[in-house]
Amino acid sequence: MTQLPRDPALLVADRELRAARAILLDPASDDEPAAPHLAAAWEALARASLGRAPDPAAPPTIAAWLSPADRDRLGPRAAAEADAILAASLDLRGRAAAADARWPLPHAALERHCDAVDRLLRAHLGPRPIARGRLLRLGLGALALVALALLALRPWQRAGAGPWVAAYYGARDFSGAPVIRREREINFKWGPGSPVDKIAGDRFSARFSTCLTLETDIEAAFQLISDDASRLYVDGALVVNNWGVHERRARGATIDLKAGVHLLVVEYYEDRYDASLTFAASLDGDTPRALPDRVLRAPDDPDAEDPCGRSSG
Amino acid sequence: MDRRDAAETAQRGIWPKIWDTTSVLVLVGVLAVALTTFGAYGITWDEWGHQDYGDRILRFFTSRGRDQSATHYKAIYFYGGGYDLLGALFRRLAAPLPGHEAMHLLGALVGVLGLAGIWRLGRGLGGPFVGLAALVLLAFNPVYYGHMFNNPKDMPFAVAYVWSLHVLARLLGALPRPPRRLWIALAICVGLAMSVRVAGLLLLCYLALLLGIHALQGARARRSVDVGLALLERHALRVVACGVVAWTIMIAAWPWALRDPARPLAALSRMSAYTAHHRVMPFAGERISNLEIGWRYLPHYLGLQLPELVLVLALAGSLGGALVLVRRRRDPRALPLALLGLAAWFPPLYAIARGSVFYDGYRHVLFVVMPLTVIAALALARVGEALHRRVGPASGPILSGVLALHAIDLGRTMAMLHPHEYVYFNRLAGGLHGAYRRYDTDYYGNTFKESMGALADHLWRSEPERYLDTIYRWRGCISNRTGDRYLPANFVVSQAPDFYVGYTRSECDRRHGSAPIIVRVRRDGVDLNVVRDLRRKAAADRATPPTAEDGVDDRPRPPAPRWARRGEPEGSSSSSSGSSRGDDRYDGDADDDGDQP
Repeated sequence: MTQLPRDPALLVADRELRAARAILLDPASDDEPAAPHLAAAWEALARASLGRAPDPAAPPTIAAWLSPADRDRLGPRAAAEADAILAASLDLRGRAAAADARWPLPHAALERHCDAVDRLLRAHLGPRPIARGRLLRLGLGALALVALALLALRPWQRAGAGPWVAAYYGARDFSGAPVIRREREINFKWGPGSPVDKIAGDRFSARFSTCLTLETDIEAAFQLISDDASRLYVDGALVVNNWGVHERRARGATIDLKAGVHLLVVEYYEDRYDASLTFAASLDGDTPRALPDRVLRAPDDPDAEDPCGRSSG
Repeated sequence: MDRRDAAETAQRGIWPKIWDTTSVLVLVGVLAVALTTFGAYGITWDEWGHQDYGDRILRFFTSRGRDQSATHYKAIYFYGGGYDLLGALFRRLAAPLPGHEAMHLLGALVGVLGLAGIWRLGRGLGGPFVGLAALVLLAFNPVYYGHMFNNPKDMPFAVAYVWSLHVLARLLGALPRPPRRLWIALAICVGLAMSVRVAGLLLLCYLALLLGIHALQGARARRSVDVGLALLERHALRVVACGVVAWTIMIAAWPWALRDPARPLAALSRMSAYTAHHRVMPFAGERISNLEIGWRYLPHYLGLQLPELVLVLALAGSLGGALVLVRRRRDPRALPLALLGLAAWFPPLYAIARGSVFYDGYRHVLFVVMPLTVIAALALARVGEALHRRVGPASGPILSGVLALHAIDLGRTMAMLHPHEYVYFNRLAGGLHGAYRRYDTDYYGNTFKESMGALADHLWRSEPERYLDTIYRWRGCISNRTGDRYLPANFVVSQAPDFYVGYTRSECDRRHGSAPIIVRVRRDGVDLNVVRDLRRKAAADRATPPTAEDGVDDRPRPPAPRWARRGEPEGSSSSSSGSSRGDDRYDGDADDDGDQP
């Protein structure tokens, strides 16, 4: 859209139009006091549109007061209404003090007319500029929203891509085709239910494998709390034995681990009734809890001879 | 920059810009602190129920209305489900962040939104300094900050309330011709407030009342009844439209109300006469029933839990504001000020006059802290203006200094109390130390996370080998689900516990008083939560049958209160060793995850 350069007359027109609108929108006020403001707004608009003052000898019509482009912007219906209002505004301004000065037009038509003139002005003046302070606030708000979205979505923590490879079996003895899934940690309270849909709530088993990477030699504590059986192998050696049919029971052990990669395998089976399994560990002397993701890595193939690739690494 | 800003800049130099920039920095700072600390807050009494409710509402919609469980869930179906549904959606968005932590994150964000709201409200009413002052006074209000994270009812309602007030104030300021966008914004804000608590309807009452006053002012100014009627007619249509939109927003996330849109009125009637939670609580050194709190309850808690500066300024500002309103009773520009006074004082005064049931300090009227804080900020600005007349531009640094000192003072206290900020008491009460046992402190159960974590740490440090091979038994004054969430898997809840975890509410920490305390959650020199080791006692009990006195705190007690003498149920007082339903269902709460109004 071609825009006229910002003309001071446009600003005057904008100010006068706002004054007229204020009066028209005040239900406690008559409409007639808006006439001088509307007439002044039209005069200023005509100066901006034509580049000169309208010819005082010419009849006050839109055709004579606006450039063809602005007439197009206004549209034929609004232009016809504007002709009547423009004439009435100028007439009323001339005899504003007279007691019989009455606007011959309905209030709704005047409000509609103000909207049309406002649209015309906005076409010339463009949208109001945004203050720098507001831009700054908007920018900070947008940043905060992005931070919020990142924090909430945590794309770096992909669900279903935990470091434990879990194989769930429909029998107590790890037989049959397992359902393979990734878990973020081993902390389950299945109750009478089952870990996956395809497996019944009783007499199932599961094997969880992960690779633990240590930077230094440490003394580590491991704990298994389960109902029923569970046991932990570290690099193929049985470290925690909580095997057998029993209610929720805790068993743990401490062992020395060298720096490097270690394969952890937790085996579990459920006999009947409630089922639960929690694996906790302490690598730094703190209270045992779930191992953090940063020291764990899922093995590519838990059944391979060297699941953690220690010989190549 | 608008005309008011320009005038203020001309008068005060660069200070308005500094105040605006500082406001943004304060908001960003609080947001940063909240985002880095939300994980430290515990699960409060109301959270389980409201999370379940949110999930049920979500199931109601995803099942296309077939799952109706949200329409009769506990007593919570009397609440609108706006925030609960938002929480259910947010938890799914934030996965794998655990549900409660996700809710605490959401609470932090909503709380900061409330801070932004009070900044806008203050700035709109009094300019950049008032905006900054209101923001700082609220951000460093420990009770508000502490509730941000884990209060699923009072906090979101307070936030929607302050935004509604902001829009309402702008709308009143734009009379007689408020633009349509303000009406739409108001309908949305009020609708959201009502979707948390139907009492948000109050906001529409404020609107109607103030528009009525405006019409009256118009009629008097023009000596014409017609003018007043014209104004009333014009406003009435818009108020009704606004109410219809707000009502629609309210019931949109409320399955129980969707069955019959008039039902929220029944909820309003029931919740305004809520007596389901009966409990005995400390108050001004006595023990009273929450059903008979008398008029002093709210004034005490507001007087002792608002920071001193806010309290003094809010009182002075309210009195001064009342005088201004009387002097300018014909000036439409005073309407936003009247709104503020109404929003701050009507709800508590009405509740006191009606004899409403209260407990848990002033959390139920947390929303009135917002307008009270803005009144305090306006009063501080008036002080600043007086100062400006005396010392000129130096008033800017002086005012900024006052705010900074206040922030440092309260900031230190909040850091000391963290993450239990809501147990704050001001110096009039002698701080938390002075209020201890005289008033409710940790009424919401926030301290259990810390005490339970410390219990596990203590056992691991003191008996590591045994720890690895032992299932410990615990019991306490908190829901079993919360215990399961915060204790490691080798702890189970039991009727014959090894450990008893108790906070100060209902003097739960004094149960099993003869058993040694092995963990204390201490702040300001007092225990907010303790863990007692019952193992030796349990062994002795197994050898000897229990007696009636077992676990009873036998220190002298004051005479029984009136309600007890009348034979009303006692709930759980300090003289009983747990209610008959079990300690984990203590204190008259509805059930294991008891909801409280």
